[in-house]
Amino acid sequence: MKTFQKFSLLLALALTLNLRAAAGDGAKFSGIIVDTQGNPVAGATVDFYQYPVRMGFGRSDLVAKQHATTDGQGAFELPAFSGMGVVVVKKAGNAPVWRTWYAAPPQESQKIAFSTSATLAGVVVDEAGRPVADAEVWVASALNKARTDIGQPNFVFGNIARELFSAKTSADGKFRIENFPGDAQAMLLVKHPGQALRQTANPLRYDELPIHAGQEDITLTLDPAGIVTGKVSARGTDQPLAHAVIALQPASQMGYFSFDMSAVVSAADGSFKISDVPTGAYQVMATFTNEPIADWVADPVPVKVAAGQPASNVQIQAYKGGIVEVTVRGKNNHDPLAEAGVSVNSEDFNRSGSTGTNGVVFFRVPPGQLTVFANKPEWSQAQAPATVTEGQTTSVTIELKAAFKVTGVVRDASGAPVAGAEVGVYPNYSGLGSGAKTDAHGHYELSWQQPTWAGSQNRTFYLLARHSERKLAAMQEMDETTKSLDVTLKPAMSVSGHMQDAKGKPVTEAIAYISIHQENSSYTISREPVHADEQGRIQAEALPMGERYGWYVSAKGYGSAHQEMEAADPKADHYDFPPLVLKLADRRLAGRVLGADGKPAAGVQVWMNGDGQPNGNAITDTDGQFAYDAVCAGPVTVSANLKGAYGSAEAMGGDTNMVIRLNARNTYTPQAPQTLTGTVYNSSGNPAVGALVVVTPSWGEINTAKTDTNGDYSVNWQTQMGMRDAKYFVIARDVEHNLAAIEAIDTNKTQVTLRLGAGLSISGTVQDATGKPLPHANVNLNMMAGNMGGMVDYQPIKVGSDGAFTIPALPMGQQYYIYASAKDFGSMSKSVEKNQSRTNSIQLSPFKLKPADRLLAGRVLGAEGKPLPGAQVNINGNGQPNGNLRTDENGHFQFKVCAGPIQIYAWSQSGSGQNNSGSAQARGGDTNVVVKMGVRQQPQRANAMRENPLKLQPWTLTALVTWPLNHKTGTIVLLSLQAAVLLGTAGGIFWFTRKRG
Amino acid sequence: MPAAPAAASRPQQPPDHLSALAVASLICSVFVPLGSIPGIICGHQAKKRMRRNIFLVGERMANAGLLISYSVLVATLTLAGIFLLEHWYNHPVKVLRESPTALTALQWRVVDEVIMGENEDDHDVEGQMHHTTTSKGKPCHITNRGGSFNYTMKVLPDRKMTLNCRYSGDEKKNHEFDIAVDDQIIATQNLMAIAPDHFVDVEYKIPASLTRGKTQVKVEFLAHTGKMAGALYGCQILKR
Repeated sequence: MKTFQKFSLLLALALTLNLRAAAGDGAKFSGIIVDTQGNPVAGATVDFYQYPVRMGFGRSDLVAKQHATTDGQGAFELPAFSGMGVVVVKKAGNAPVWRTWYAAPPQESQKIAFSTSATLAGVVVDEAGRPVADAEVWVASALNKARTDIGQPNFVFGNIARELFSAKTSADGKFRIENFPGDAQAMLLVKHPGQALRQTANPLRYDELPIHAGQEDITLTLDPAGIVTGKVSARGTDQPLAHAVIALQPASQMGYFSFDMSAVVSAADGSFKISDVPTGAYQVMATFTNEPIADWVADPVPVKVAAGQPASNVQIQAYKGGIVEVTVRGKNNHDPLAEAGVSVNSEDFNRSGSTGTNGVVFFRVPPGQLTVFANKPEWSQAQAPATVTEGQTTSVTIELKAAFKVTGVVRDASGAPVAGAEVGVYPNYSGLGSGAKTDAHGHYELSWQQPTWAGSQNRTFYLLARHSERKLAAMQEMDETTKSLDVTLKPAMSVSGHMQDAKGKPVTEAIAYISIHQENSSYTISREPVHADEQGRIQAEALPMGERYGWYVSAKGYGSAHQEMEAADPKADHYDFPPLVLKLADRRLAGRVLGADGKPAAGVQVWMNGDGQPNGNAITDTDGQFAYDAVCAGPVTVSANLKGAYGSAEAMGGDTNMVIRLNARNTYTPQAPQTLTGTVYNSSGNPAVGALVVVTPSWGEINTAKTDTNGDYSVNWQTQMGMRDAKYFVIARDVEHNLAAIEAIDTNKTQVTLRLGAGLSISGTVQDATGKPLPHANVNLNMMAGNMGGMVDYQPIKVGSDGAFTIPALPMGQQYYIYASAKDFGSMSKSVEKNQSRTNSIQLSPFKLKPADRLLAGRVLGAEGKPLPGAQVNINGNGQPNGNLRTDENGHFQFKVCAGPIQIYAWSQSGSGQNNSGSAQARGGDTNVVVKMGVRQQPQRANAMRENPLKLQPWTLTALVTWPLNHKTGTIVLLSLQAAVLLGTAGGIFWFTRKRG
Repeated sequence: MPAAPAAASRPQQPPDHLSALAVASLICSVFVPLGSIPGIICGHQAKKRMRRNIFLVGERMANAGLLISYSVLVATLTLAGIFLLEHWYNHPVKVLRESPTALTALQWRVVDEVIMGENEDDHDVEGQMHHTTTSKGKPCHITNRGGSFNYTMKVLPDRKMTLNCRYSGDEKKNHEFDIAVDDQIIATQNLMAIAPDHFVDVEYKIPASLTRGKTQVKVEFLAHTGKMAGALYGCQILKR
């Protein structure tokens, strides 16, 4: 499914970026074609393909846009090309070569080299191994390893690939595709009536295709194919609906192009037939293409196709639903934006399109909650919620900000311009096309975007320039006002590490995405992954020194893992990560999803994740079944979601009989989002510009706003699930001047005017137990809204190198909780009461975090006393780090914690979908803790949980009685004395009686 | 061969018997302190019987038993007396200070004070499962069951100190906790209905050994198993 997702992402990106082509910005694309020896090739044809400006429904294919022929010097030039496109170069006697540009049009002349020709050959057989004659074999998709502008492979697919590379099988079933590039990989498809290509294991990486150039032992097996037939009609009336585009979507892991399915359109009587469908589970999707508004909308229908068996008559019931009218405008002048990409998404409905010249696009959608997302090249991206009612039209207006542009020159330490340096703005919210390379004069020009969603307004952005070959880099802070920024590269650092499997064998196919840790969060700075060498070693060069780096590593056939440097070292020019062990993804995971009624639930989205596990998702078939083929040993969480009903279960890699019950109690019914508008004034009555506005409490992704030049704001918010009687507040903050305003709101309020007054600033420091500052600590602040805590800032709070932090512009007279934690340390929270917060400034006493240097280990047992693998274990305790993990195959868990008491909670879901839980109390250092399901160990007397138990109060009966227990030496001395007296007495008696006698 | 006439002609004399009671007295006496009473009784009985029966021996043993038993009894009574006196002396004192005058009158004794919700942070409040809340209209600090909390409070190194804690006098059951100073329990408090309808101050004497030479101590409130510590409405270190 990853393949499907990644490729879908690229296609979506292509659609978005392709819109740029419509703008016709006049950029030129030129290049030189050379042969394998590097000699110019004259007379080669250069064809340029792009997606149609407005993509149709169903599966779109690239269409030819431009054509050129190379001159005597092998040069070509294509006019007016911009956006995403594919260039295919052909010349008799050479294998065709292609290049894909996903984002920016190449500025400099491109050198495209033919590669050696290779052959793809093999045999097509049926399920009994008999050769299949007269079958068409073609390349469904191919890639060559030359990297594109965004580090992706060069793909060619669809009709272009089919036209370039295809063959027919002879009587002995053999086929031979000549002239395939020697450096390329392919996925093959076969067409033969009544049969379909047997599905092979899903490729785990989208940039690896199963057939390699030169392979001549390819065996393609055909199975009897299934047929999907059905009818599209109007719900309730049975009126047949013609012209619906019918498509199949695989329900489980399957490569995107692993079967040939051209779009099918329903006939006049609403019927449709899809032939030669491989066995498997699918969703049948019907899409209506009427312009500008589709007449109907239909829910996907799950179908199971068995070998040789026609599928039962699929009935697709279309209905009218509601209409979303999306208007996209520019933020500054409110002008409509044409050709903006718009998508509407709900849990099980996704459509995308682009706005017309009036900036409007319509979607017919099922009733319910939707998220509308809009973007446009050179503009920001934004989203808005929408609630659609049956038969109604819902209007949504989204305003996009023009992208920021920054130019400059990159130089080295000597002042000389650096050509070929990669320049980008990070964190990168702009998608794949946000970077640039410096030209021969070291000049760069790039556009970047600041997203509108939560947490982005105060985000610090950096311009990162790197030159890998010269091992130089620089990073410079910037913001949206930065128009020109020259950068001087400095010697950079590198990071490296070894990727290995559990047996120590190098994982040579590992790839890593480099991330940088700043402001308590990490973001990737990799435009393309770094690949492991033959020893499984990954080395990333040209990273600015003095920063804290990490990487996310994955590999085909393995799980994933993340590593991060402990701390930045300003002087280090290299950091070697400890060897990283990737778990082998050699297990299967399968199960069923049951509805709240206990019956199998079909068409449910199921996704899995877990520590070190590959991510994946699937859709249940008609029996509610799902499966993942590549899962690592160890715990994994599988979640399912269907129209708001939610369920999840814990499992271990290899479990093939798990059950997820969609629990009616967990049904999530989002509250209708609301928009609050108003104006923020400063204390002198003038509009406050750039003030942050947020509604609290809120969890998850929320909307924050900044006041515009008129002090106006518009912020979306919604009441929170399970928070009846909660109080909500709108808060405005002028961070720069430490001003704040707060006003209680309810669902009836749509407009609130706020006047900023003096704000409260809370400061503190985070230290270890010895008073050493902890600059990498995380600090969070919550304001108590009624009896709920809510965030007032969605930015990470900056902690300085001295461990100090300041949270300015908080409303006075409120109750706050400040929570500090740090890696390898415990946590601590402090509260600021309402009566304390009626001041301008509060300096908290230092947060002194205890070191988390003790082991806490144990195991979780089921109610029957057997070790419970995959149980979720959570720890907490005052001063302790919070943590959670899953038990391993033997039910074991292990944490690093601080000294002192700690509470351990464990829970798991049984096969029947029932939740079990248990808890226990322990101390940091305990390594044999047992948590038994169904047993809740009461918190013990605080004294018993202390590191050093308290001394008893003297002069009490308890102290007297327990004295011997607490003073063992004294007791032994006293008893010895007594024994001596006794022996002495006995001896005396003996002596006395003898004397007398 | 003639027999031994001397031995045969000597008059028969009953043999001496060791007094069992004298032995018992001595044995009892060594079982400190419970044996002292039976040791005394046995000693006196042994001596009484010896006076009546001249063939009973063991007077010295009885005397030894009596001596040891009386010594142990005196020591036990002395210790018990000291114990009771100390217990009485250290017993917490409940004081109702609800009038402004009463509160003002206390001020000269105050060395340090924790005001709930105001300066707890300045006193490095820490603990397990504890929080500040508002109850009966006033801020207070309380734990969940089994929790604890503590403050760092100033003391005078050369003076005897008292810890004064303010509670609500009409708490329900389950408010039972130990109060410790520098890891030494100085009192155990059960707050159930200690002064209905009143806020009440309870003064705990801090043993001088816990404050001598120190400028600050850790005052800790630790709930008993399944019980809560607090609610504490205020806390002061007072000069005694």
